[in-house]
Amino acid sequence: MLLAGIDIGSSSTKAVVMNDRSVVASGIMLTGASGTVAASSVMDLVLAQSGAAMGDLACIVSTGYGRVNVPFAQKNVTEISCHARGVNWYFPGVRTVLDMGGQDCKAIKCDEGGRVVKFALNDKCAAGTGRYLERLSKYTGVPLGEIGPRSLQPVNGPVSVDSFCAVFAENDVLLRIREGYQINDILAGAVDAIVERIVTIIQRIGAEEELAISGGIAKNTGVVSRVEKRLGMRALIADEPQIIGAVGAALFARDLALKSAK
Amino acid sequence: MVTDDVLLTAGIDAGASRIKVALFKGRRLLGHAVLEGGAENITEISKRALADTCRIAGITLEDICKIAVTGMAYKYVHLEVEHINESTCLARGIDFFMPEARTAIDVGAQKSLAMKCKGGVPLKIRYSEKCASGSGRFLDVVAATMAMDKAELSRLGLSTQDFVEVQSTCTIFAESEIITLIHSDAKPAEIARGAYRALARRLYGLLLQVGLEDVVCVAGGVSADACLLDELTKLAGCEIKTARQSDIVMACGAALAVQ
Repeated sequence: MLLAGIDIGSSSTKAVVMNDRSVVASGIMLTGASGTVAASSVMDLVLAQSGAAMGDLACIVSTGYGRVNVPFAQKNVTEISCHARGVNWYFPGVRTVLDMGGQDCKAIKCDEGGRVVKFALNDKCAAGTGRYLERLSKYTGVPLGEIGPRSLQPVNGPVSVDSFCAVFAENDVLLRIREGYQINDILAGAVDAIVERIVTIIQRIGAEEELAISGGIAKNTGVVSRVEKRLGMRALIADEPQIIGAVGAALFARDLALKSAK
Repeated sequence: MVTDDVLLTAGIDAGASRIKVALFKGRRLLGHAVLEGGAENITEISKRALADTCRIAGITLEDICKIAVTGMAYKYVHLEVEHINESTCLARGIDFFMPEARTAIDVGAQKSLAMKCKGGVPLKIRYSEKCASGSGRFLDVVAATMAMDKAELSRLGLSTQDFVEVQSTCTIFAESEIITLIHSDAKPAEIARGAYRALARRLYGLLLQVGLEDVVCVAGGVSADACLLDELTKLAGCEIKTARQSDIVMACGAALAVQ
């Protein structure tokens, strides 16, 4: 049985095709101006990869910020449920999930079945989201992918960046650059500031072993290693942490298909 | 007592975007100056503003007995000055311009300060300084996104009573939201109104935290914005007045605090 999950995020859209045992195809694309268009494109991509047609899919479930805009999905499920479910499929021992996306950051406590027990969410503020890191990249001129590693190699130690607000941090960072501090030291200070923010979100649900991190920021080693250090826990990260929500959606699609087959 | 009354004191309010200086002799405002700041050379700009003020008052710098400094960028003013905190300065400034006011809010370029005060003494204070959404920066970003200056944004907002809801609190998210609104069918004037309303709501929230009491006095660089004032008045349901020289209230308060 083939199933699909599609996760329309604020900045990228992810889709997976799964069979009973594994992920057979996955794709990531920028969401752009229209979630519906992105959903169709990424779906075409994963169908081509898996050599299947839309009609071969037993069920499709959508999730994410733009989940209601997927005309070909049979159902939509919140991204909180999908992340918990998706992480559980990769790492059944996980009880705390930290999902850091383009525009929000959530901490989820889940049970052994990948069901959500409790969650805390920041979707009101860009601090601790991909948007903050994108801006940091823009005004320091350091490519997004290098921010993590460079923030871990300060030359003279982190320079404190007073504000976690993405708007104010811009002034702080530019001021530090003018004052002649090393870029790596400024990056270290800026990443420190947002990790503090992320940690307060996790503390609202209480971190419990094991911990997994998903979403695009899971690829940022600077953020991940600081979160690990602050919580005193190792973080489990899937090979492609951005597709976890889509995997969770595909698993919900399987439930639905099995239910309707009965 | 008599000698205290004739002291010449100056107050420097080194804000996030401008440097304001006021000069007092007793309780008499002799002169003031407002200069554009920015992050560079705050000490130099402060010196220049002091010199301008002295010229206006017809005195020399040496005549000033004491200089007080306040504001976000106070630590960058490397002069022989005494630091006075913002809440004291605001309370003293409000007492000078509008002694009948019991509630005050200072809306600055980067932060807002609400307080309940009486007789120049702050009784309860609340800051909004960690997040750009409750400051003038929010309007800067909205205006830039709509490709206009803030005076135009204010006029545009005042041209209608209708508004579209700007839901994002975070200024960064609001920027994207406004771009989306511009590309939808929303009228620019209603978007502008919506943005003012959103900011006014947050300022109103800050006022509620200190307790809203008649009369409310608004100070700070952003407070002269008629559209913001209109929205704030609607929400508060009581009289809201702008201090006569709203942008130098803090500087005056600083000078008065060291009298």
